[in-house]
Amino acid sequence: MEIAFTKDGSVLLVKPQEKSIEAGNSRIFKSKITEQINKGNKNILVNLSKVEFMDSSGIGGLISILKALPSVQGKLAICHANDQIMKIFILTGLDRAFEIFSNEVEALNSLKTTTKP
Amino acid sequence: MDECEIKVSIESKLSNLPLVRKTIRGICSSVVQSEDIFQDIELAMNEALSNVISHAYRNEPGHEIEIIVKLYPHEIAIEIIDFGKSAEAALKPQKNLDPLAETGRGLSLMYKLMNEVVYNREKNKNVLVLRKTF
Repeated sequence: MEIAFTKDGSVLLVKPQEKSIEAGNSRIFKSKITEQINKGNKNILVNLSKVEFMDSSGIGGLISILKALPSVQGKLAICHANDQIMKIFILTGLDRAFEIFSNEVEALNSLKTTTKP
Repeated sequence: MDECEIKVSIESKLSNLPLVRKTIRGICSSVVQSEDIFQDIELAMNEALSNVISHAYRNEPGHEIEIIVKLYPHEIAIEIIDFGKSAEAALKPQKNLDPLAETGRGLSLMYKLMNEVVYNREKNKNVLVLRKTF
């Protein structure tokens, strides 16, 4: 699972380079991001523009990141979720648990105005 | 188009799932063109197959899973057959699931995405049928 990590101020931009986040790679996805949280990154934006498919394991990976951040006063935002990914968020009721934005600029602005550096 | 049936056989490896989704999408495209329906079938089937691999076969590669796709003018039925341990316990709907639980959503997703989900234990095999009408 290849993931591009870049920093924008206090926000760590996480861009999975794979076409899917699913049962076969969701553990690696989760552990690579957890590693970044452990290095001190607490405000995370996951850009899903390259991801075409996500299953319930992929959602599980995002939930574990969401749950890890409050203890370090961090926040998670998601952007560029396609129709299939939005469908799974809505069907599981998790669209209300995550901050989901249509594009990176909106997501970054939200994270920067609501989080501490 | 008349009724048509195609059987695909795969090994119990999660890394096979992307190719299975592509294959099943290709087969289904002969009776339906809706992206919405493709997505529903792909996700429900994916959840069913990952359940088989992780529960019935305990993540062991080398086991067989049969996928039988039956195409009708207004329905697609996908039969998933494995020869692992009974899925009866794993297919019981979970009550009081923590809203932020990291696992346990596969079955409820299958029910939400499909018109019908039927499970039967037949001798030494699990047979799960997913039906989508359109």
